[in-house]
Amino acid sequence: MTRDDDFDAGSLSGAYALGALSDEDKRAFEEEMVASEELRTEVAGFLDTTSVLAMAVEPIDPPAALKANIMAMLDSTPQLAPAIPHEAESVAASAQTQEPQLANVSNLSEHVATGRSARTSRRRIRPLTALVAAAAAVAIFAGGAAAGGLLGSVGDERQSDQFAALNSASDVTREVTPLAAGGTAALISSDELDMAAVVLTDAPALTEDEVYQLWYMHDQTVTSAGIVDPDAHQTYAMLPSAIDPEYAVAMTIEPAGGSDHPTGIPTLLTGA
Amino acid sequence: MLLTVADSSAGDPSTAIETRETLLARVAQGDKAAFSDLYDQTAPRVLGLIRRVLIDHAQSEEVAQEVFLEIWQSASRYEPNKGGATTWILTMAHRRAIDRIRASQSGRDRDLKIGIRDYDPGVDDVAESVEIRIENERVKRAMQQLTELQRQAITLAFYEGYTHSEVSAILHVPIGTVKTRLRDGMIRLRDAMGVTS
Repeated sequence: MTRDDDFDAGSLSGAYALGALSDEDKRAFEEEMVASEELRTEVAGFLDTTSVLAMAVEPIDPPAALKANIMAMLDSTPQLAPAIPHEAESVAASAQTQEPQLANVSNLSEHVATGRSARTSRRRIRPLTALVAAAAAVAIFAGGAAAGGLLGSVGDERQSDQFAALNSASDVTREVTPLAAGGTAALISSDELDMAAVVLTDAPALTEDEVYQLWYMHDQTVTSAGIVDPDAHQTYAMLPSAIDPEYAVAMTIEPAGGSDHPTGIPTLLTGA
Repeated sequence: MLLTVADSSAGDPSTAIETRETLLARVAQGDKAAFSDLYDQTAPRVLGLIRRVLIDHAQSEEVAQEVFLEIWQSASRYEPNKGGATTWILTMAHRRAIDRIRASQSGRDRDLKIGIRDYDPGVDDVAESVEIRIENERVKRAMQQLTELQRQAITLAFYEGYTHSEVSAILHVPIGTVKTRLRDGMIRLRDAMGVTS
């Protein structure tokens, strides 16, 4: 309960549909909406109404470059899977480990839907998350305890929001590196949001005993940035901050559980 | 719940064999050709709306880009039983424009703008300048069903992107009054436009 006592969702449906609520009121209203069929129906009608208002605005033909830009970005912009709730085995497994977690693009929804176990997993991860968040970006890379740099647990719905926000950031950069054995690894980064992610697309399947591991490299120091275990066409993992141009990011194949130091042949994912 | 109006002003419905709902479903499957068609059908509307709210042209194109990438990303989350595809897309565009306008820098400019309006008794100009742009007869007629205060409040909120507390400051009416005027006004607009839900 963070909202005021005088918060009356019923009176806010108009303001909500018109986009006139503050972020705080908007969140509170959306909470109320989950529980109220009546509110949802009213809002749906209002949104149809605002879309008529929107269509009364004179259209503007966008420049051709806009479409070209957007079309060019589709390949490195993974799509969310439909929200079909069903049991996710991988969540329970993830909760066992302190390893950095990753979200499998096509499994996101099941993780989100798996309330209880996902929440457990989140609680376990939180201290690490807090530590990472509190540390300065450079300290994260150097610090041993927080060396598993991948933020966000499987089942953390904020992660998919973050990933969506990252992909549509106005200053987003995408660096796509073809992998020797096929597929690509893309580094997506935004300074503005201070977020980054790694997206593996069609990366070769590994044996059960192997994982991909990411590394930050700076001067003579190599630090683990977490492991990625691709089990779908596309897998992404959030990184705790934007890619620092001073640091190189590399990927190797390592034994399950990851290694302290890279033992596989590294593929460089950044220009540095 | 679909708009009956639908796209009288947004393209020729007779040639739109594939509805936007169908296109969205194909986009959700990663169909780039469908995305391209959907873009062609909706981009002028999306950009027009964003530009109306943001004014700044370069920023508007950035936000339009964000919107279309979000459409690509989350097409699978569109639920046809909850509303039309056009509503889904335009709502997304409006929200992103609003988010942008409330971001820090533009926020300061807007505070200034509100300050100026505070001293300017000619608040009507705001609504009138919007009305000039309103080409859609149906909206114009529906707007005439509203009280002056309802019309001003809805116009400031939707087309100018003000929060209800900003609207309250601009119009010099209590915030509770703004909330109820926005809701009453929306009910009246909805009914006047024949939107069923």
